[in-house]
Amino acid sequence: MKKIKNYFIKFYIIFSFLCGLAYSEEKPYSLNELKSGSHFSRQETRDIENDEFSNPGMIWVEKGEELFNLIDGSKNISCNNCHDQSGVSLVGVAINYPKVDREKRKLINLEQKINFCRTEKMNAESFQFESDSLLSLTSYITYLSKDMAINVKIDGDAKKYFLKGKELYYQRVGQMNLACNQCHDEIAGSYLRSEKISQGHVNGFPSYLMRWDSIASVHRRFQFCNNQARAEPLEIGHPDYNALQLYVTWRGNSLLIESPSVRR
Amino acid sequence: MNRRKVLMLLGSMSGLFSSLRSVAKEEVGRPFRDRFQSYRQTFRVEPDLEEAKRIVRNIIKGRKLRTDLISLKAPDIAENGNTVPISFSVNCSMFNEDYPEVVHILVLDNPFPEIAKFYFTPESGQADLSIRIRMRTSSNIIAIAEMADGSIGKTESYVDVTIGACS
Amino acid sequence: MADENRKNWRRRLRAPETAIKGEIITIKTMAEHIMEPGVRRDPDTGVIYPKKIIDHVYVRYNGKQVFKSQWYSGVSANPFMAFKLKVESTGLLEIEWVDDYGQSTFKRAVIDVYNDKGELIYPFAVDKPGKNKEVI
Repeated sequence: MKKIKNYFIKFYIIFSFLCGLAYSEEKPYSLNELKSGSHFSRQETRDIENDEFSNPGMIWVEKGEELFNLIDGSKNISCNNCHDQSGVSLVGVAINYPKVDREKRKLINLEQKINFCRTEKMNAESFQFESDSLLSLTSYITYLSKDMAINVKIDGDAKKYFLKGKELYYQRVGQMNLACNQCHDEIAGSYLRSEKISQGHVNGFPSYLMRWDSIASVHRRFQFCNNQARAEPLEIGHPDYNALQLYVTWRGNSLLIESPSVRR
Repeated sequence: MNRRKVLMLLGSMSGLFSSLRSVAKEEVGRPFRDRFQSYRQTFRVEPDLEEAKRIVRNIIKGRKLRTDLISLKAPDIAENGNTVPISFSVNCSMFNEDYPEVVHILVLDNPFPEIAKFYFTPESGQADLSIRIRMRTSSNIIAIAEMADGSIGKTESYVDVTIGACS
Repeated sequence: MADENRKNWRRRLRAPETAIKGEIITIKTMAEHIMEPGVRRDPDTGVIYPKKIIDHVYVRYNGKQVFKSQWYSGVSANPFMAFKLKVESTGLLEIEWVDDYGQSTFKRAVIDVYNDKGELIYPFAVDKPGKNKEVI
């Protein structure tokens, strides 16, 4: 009788311990609740971002508006000729990028699309990546879709790029052997040496980053992440970064575009 | 004996001349331009706490500090050392001689401690201002207000500047 | 580096369009400037980027200097400054940013000032109609 009682007590203790173990794996922020990057920054930074005048990123938006109306190229037209109010309006365009171009059949993001439009439709020179003019135009076009929900497609032609991006997201890189999901999926919200880890969404890009005192594109931010993990950064405009940008943008689907945001 | 005396005299004179040449020149202070970089400089420009305190003493010039003259609002923890938004407000009436002639903002642990100077006039209405500054490490921000009638007030506020993430 | 020679450096100014006589208004300014402090190094070669900052900021109302400010290398890049001004009459507000190489840029705005009855106050004396009898 005593043996059976001991057996039951042991079984009960081990069972309750295992139950407790299962529930202790719950994460503080699960991706069921999507939180944009401004949720993880301090109040002073949010004040700088919300006021449209004191937001330094608006400087690039205003420059982009000037460039949009500038006549360039051998055909002597500006972007405004086709894309004004009565033509193909650009409001609500930035929520679909990165997407697969119908003619070229490859994945492009907004910067590459602007360069294609310039070389083919306007016969003008394409802008260099991360140059001041291209950043201004990209932030202006993204600003036109402000407060609209991101909606990228991952089916059909985009499926293979989405799977490639997902593979890159979960791949460990660098001397520190870190993958994106280890910090941004599992421990988002906790502190990494006094910086609060965000969920890693790109709804605020192209955003004004205070460490560089200027607007930065998504690819430059990916390069910085790779540098921090002591991995070899790829060049800006690389198709691997395009695929990764597609996956990360899909991860933040239904978040509102906040560009130009102010981040560290 | 004569030769010995002559040799001793010569030796002492040469010793005297060499000692005159090796007397160390005292450095009075290293002005702003001295610490400005040459074209190829490979060491960091280090903050000099003694000189920063000397600058503060030169502004105050031994006057008695008034309390509650200037109030400074700065964040507790700065998100990034490149952009720290601060704002100050001087408690005065802005009539006759009761307006701040100069307001200094200093950060002692920066390589160049002076941040800015603001010259107000009675037409300013109120001596309120906000600006964004750079800080290298966690340090005190010091705001000194010199009024037109000669009185002076000082306040300071501590801001934490940290480094984060994988680096 | 070719971007440094462009001409479209932005200067922004926000001031209220109308005000009442004696009101204290808030004016916000922002300039696009790299504000290189002279201590940052190129990561590959180790050479220090030369110092280039905005040195003086002058604020003039109707030509008369109202506010002056001197900046050193501690002010952050793309500098933002918000200050207050007491307006007595309609006027032209001018902000001038002067570089430490001597280059200066400015931005202007007009502020309309009304008195209690709703009439516009001019910065000069306006003759009443009918006072000047000489007709040319």
